[in-house]
Amino acid sequence: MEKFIELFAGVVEESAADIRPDSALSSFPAWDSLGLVTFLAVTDQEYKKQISAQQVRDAKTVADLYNLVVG
Amino acid sequence: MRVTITNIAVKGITAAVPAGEYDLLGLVPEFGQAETERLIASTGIKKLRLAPPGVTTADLSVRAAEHLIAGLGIDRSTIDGVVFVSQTPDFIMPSTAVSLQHRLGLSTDTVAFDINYGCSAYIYGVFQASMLISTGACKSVLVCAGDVITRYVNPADRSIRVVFGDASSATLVTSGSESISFHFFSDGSGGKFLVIPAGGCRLPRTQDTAVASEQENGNFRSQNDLFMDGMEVMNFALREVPKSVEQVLAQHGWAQSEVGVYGLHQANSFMLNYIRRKMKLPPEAVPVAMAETGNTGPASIPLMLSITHERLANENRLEKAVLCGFGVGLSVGSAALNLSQAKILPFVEL
Repeated sequence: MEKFIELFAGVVEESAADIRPDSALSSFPAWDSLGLVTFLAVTDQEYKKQISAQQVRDAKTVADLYNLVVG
Repeated sequence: MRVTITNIAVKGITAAVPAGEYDLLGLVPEFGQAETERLIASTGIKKLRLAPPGVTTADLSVRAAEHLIAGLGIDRSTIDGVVFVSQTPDFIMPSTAVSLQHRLGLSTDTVAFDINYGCSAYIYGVFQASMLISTGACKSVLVCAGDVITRYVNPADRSIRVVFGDASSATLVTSGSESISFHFFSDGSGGKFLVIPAGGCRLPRTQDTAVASEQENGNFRSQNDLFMDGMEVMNFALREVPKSVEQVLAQHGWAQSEVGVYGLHQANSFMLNYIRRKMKLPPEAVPVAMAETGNTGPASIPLMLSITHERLANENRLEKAVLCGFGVGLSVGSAALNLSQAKILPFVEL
């Protein structure tokens, strides 16, 4: 989870220390269309995994994203 | 689908863009300083070329074609085919290619027709020209690939407003001694991810289709406007572009490492850099040249070549070139070819 949060922090341009698994994605200003696309690219690169766009849109928290990518 | 067409030559390539530059920093009052800078940093696009009212893709194509004909010093009466690849024709009917035949003063003994494609358009145009020559139907085919897609961009849709620009291009394909390999991939299930919903027969334009509403993340557009699902297109490109390039390399018998240049559709630097890293290609082999023009769709590959040809020629990268366009359809088209004998001219303005 730690590595994932580091990666997510880079996507939303926040400090990893401020991000918890239950953090709401809507609380990050940079979780917008650009942030979403960046997330897909980063997970493809770092985890060699393609996540469906709809699943990412449906995610509500950081933990939801983690479960999509790693879980 | 993959195929190699023989006895072909790409004689010349150039592009034309609208003269006025639109600096994206002009969006600061609307989007805010931080947000605008963040968008520019990510897309790598600082300026756009926007066609003013009254200027169409056909106008830019005529400008590019005249520049190419003059630059190559050819007799225009030798051109016997015109292929116009665009999503922004002058009219629903007649086709724009036939108007180019007239405007360019080409022989009436010319075959002229349009193909509707966007970011993969250039490969379809060169493919069609190569087939016309390979069958013996034509000896010299002019391919004009371009769009004035910003006509369909809602200014309140920031997700695409900061990306798309207008341009067209001209490429002359003739009979010759080279071979070009092609690979195409089509997945119509993704048509809805890059679409102008209204304006065709499926959904005619009405007062209702012209009403813009908030779609997501504060972006507004109507059904008359261009819609792009950036996430789906990103997933598609990351998944299919490396595969298509692999296919065209296999078809042409080239190893990935021996190719001098991978001329990818100039979507934005963010996307190109991820695709490049995924394909494990060195940065110098994947030109990124949309900072001053934006994503110009069908024209983006020839426009990139017109910007970078000097470096590519000096570094001997053009002899083994792979071009790849991807996007609307959804579709991917790739070509492996020798561009070292092609006269690539700097772009011109209109």
